[in-house]
Amino acid sequence: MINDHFLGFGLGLRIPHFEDVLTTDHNVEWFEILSENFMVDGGKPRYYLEQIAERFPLVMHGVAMSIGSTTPLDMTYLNNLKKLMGDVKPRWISDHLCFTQANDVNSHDLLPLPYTEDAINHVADRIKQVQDHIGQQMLIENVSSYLTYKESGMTEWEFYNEVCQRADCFMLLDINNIYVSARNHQFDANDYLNAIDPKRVRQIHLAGHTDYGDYVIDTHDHDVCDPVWDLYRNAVKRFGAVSTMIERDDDIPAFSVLNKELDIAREIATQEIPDLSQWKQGK
Amino acid sequence: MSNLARLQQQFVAFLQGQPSEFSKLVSKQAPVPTRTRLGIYQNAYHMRLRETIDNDHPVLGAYLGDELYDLLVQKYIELYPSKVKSLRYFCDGIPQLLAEVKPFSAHLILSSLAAFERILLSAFDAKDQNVITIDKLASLPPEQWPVMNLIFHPSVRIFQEQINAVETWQALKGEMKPPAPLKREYPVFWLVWRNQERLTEFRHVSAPEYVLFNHFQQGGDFGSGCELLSEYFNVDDVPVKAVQFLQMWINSGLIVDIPQ
Repeated sequence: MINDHFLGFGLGLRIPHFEDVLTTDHNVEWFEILSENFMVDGGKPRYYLEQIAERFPLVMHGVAMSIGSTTPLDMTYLNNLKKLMGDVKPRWISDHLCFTQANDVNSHDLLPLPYTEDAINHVADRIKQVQDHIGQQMLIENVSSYLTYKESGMTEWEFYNEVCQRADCFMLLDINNIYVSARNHQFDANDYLNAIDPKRVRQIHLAGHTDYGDYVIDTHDHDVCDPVWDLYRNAVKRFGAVSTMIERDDDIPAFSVLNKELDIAREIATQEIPDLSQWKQGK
Repeated sequence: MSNLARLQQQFVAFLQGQPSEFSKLVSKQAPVPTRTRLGIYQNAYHMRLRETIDNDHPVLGAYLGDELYDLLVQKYIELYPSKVKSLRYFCDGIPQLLAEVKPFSAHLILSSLAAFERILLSAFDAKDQNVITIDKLASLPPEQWPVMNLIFHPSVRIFQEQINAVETWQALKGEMKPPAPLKREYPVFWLVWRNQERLTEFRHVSAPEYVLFNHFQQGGDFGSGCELLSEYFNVDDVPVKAVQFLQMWINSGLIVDIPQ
């Protein structure tokens, strides 16, 4: 099964790769930009973005919407986001199921929410407000977490499914984040995957992490590890061909090296969905 | 206040090292102690902000040395918690902290050096706009010269120093020993802009060039700008000097329009 909105295999667009994206032969089919990095007036990043947007499908991924915060939605931020959407014409936009702001302070970190009925109502309402503002459905990503709250009354996947169902938004499923949280909270990552509503999954993230033995931290500075590839294979079996990409934010290797890593995702997906070898963007 | 709001406030207060009951809200999960789990978030908070200061202020860091730089990072994160969505703007208060907080405030060079690094960054991602060529100036009818105004490229900025900050920045950037701090008898002006290759450039500007630049920035016209230059040059030389400044600005890609 090939998802209707399947873009192929992509990468997170990073500054060291700007030139390579435009000037080298590669088979990266789409790119994800970090929205906040391009909320500037001009200069080199916007110059390259304009050229890359002309040649490749783009999606926008944010880290600062703070959809779970109890303070009012930041309308200046949402207006800037909408303006950037007008410039970039992304296939879709996404942000995280978390909060990043309280006490008028930005944490610049993706802080987990308690899995409660109140939090579901609160977040779903805010996602609906954002979707009304931008005029389209958005994607919400599961985050890695390192703690759980006493008041949580359900699993993360029950919470995630319910939020997306009530908000009628899509899911950006981060396979590495599922793995990291499964290790940190000792649940079976496949239980998570198997509980996710397949019709809501529109994008998949893959990434590396740092393994400290008893716990794992989502650092995006390593290659994707074998257990995450195994989990990705199971995700493809369950969700079909979903737009898949690798995120790398630290110790960023050469563009060609990331291309090779992306080929692993392509190969796994093609093994599970043979029709994919015939798929071409735009067909 | 809702439980959710209370939890979020306690979490962020904990990250900032302020009094917080947050740990009481967290489940115990063997084998990793709660302290370790909380520490992951607190470390990430500090590391991300520190990396932002590292990226924005490498020259300031080199000048301060490890010990004072660590103190700056600690003070800045404590006294200037992030109020911005984008880390691009997180360090905007560093020049102010350096000017106001001991022991940094005793050294004027520090605030000025940081302010110069920030002005370079702000030119880097200023709005894009097409610049004019010298032909546009040449084609201007003579009667329009006196009332001519100039619109500068959005990346153009003036950096004013009271102490030898730019010279210090240049030495440190070149990995050479910086000069001793030297207070200027009169303010010294530097022009900062992003060139057509989208690289940030800067150069020293003389007093008359600054006066004319400032005049145009404030909407003044060419005729009255020439009158200001007569303070610096013989009256007969003024028009030539003024045109030389204009040519230099246009050739450097600083002008986007000549409205009349």
